[in-house]
Amino acid sequence: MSVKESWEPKIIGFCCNWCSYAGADLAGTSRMNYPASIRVIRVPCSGRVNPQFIARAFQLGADGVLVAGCHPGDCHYSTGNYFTRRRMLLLTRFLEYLGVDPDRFEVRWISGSEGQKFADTVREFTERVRALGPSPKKRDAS
Amino acid sequence: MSGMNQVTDRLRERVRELLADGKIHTFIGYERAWDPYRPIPFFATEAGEAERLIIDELCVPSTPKYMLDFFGREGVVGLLVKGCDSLAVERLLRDHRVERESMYIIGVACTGLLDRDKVKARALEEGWGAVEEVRREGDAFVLVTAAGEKELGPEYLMERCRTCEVKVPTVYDELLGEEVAATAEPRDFAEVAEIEAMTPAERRAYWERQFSRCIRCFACRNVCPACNCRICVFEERVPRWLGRKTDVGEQEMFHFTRALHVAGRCVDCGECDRVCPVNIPLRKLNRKLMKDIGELFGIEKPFMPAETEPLGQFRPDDPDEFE
Repeated sequence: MSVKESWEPKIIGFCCNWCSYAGADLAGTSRMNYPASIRVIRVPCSGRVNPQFIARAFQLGADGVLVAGCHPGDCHYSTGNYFTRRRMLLLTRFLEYLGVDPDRFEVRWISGSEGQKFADTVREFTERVRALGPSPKKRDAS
Repeated sequence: MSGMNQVTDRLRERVRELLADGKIHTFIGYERAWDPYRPIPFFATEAGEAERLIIDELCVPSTPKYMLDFFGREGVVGLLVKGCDSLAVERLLRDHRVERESMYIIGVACTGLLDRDKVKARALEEGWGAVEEVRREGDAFVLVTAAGEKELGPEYLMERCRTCEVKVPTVYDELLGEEVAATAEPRDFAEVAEIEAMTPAERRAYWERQFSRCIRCFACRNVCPACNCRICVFEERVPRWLGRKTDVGEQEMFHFTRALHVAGRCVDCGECDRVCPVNIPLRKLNRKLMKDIGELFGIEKPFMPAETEPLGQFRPDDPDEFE
């Protein structure tokens, strides 16, 4: 696929307030470098991530979507991410079934102390999405 | 095996009694209407109307969803329910959209319905005229038509009936007809596996071809017993999840959302597939989710309404493929 040289992947990252967002914060305060391709959206819990959010992100032309939450067992709300895990297991398969490249969708458990993991995840994910090229936009923002 | 028409007289008699005694104010069954090959739901409100009721292998539409039209109304509604319909009743009960006391359910044991489109096509081709009666004789169906008796083989059975495991309703107040053993071909999800075996590009093209036909009539939503929200997400103004524009992106958004909203709650009645005017294989979406729910969470019969839905619960030792 020929891509304009100026193209940079656009990744939407849903980060839970208590772990992954804190992890992203730590990456920042520790001055770690990671690509600016990610747009972080803070959610109260990874359980807040409605599959429609992800579908809408792809619809509006996101090249990749990352969902990040506390490690199972560490949820601020005790059990929220266990529900997320069931939902995301289904969703990854369903997106693949509909023909979305599974490499464009990523779920990670990132704790508040894992700034390095957040930076690494974004870097790896960006490179993977870059290799895939732009994802088709299906709707104008309104 | 002799077919559901055997119980027609008994059905009429019971409905007449129930309406006359005031036990129910309405009975939802079927009548033969303008197209005799496609009986339609019939709402009997007077004892005299019981004579119009019929039941045979052409009476396909599911009745329980009509219960929502009686939401908040006093009195009891009578309902004719086949095996697949009884799962729809259970769905509505578990979702707290109907009360068991507001229904009087007459169950009927069913050995499989006819594919009305297939039958109608053959009838038109061979000029059978109106159909008066449908019987079952062994594995075959006998249609009494204006052009005489016509026999149809088991290949005229509806696709969804081939793997049906719920021939006798799971919930009823009285049961008409002989109980039949639930013998079914195994549910092997072959049609889902077929799509899974495609390359990502083929899958993309396949679904775009399907979704591009969608006219967003919402028939699939309206008929679905699991789609029973009082305010549907597609009718919300803010946020507007579904744009008005007709394009494949919006259509895909609709079908993606619909399938996931019934994930873990779908009873696999196949009504969405049947009512789609442009033949989008909606069941292949539902059944993909059903297959994965069964495999991932070890649920043997994911189409059976359970006390807690698969996505409303978890186990700490669920598979974890996320790092």
